[in-house]
Amino acid sequence: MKNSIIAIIFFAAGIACSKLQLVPQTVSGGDLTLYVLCFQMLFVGICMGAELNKSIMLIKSLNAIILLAPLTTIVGTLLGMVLFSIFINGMPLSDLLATGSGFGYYSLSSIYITEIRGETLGTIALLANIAREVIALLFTPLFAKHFGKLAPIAAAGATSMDTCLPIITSAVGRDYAVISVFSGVVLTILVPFMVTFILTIM
Amino acid sequence: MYEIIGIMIAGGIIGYIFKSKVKFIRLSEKIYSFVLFILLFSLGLSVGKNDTVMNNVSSLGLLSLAIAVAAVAGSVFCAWIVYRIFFKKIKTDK
Repeated sequence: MKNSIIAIIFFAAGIACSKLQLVPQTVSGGDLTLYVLCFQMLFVGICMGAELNKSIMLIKSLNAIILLAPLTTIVGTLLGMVLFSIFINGMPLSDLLATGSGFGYYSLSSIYITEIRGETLGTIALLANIAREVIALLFTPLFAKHFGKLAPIAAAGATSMDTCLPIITSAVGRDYAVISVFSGVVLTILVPFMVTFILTIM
Repeated sequence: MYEIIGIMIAGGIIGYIFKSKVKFIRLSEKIYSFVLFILLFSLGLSVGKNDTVMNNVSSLGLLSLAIAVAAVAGSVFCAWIVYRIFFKKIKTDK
């Protein structure tokens, strides 16, 4: 929650600086974002690579059924997007599927989507994925009570490994913590692949 | 965008090789979170210059919320079914 507030503040500060022309025109070019993104991805990779052994051990210690957790989230999210596309006009299904494929990982998904499709969809992706995280945080106890122990993990998407983990474990029990972390890790890794794939193929 | 994924994989190899260098990994994590905020700031810069977005802030906000609700609803619905079929009967304690 704290991080999503900081994220919004930085995003809003960017808009304000652009509107008040506090930053030279050359700095606000999209190229800068791309270079910084490349730099960023190097460090994302380093952090994941360092955790690789731990991740493999985690997977080995678990029953294959755990794969159903991230799969459920993916299928459910895409299903939600397909149904939503029936009710909304003027937004291509691929844009909705890409936005949904952020799975709450708002920072990375919105930047990827901005690079591929532009600022409008990028902003939607940022807001929609922050909203997903907030909804998951607020409604986890409700989801757990009425829809079973897997529901809060699916609702949280990629955030089930960090931001939402404490509330999820307190709602469904510590024995589901491993499933929650596993599901979040898988979805976090999949976000850049799925977003790029959906927007370039469809 | 595939180059970026290539860079990420290269980072993964570096991280795997240097995983025992705790200081280096901690520093990478710090750089990662800091750069994330810089990226969001720069996203804000591009959004501020984009009139289509700026003139439709409220409708985009509402649309975003609706998308989030649809994504969560779909996920929770599927999780409910999958939980009833596969998870309810298994004990997860180690």
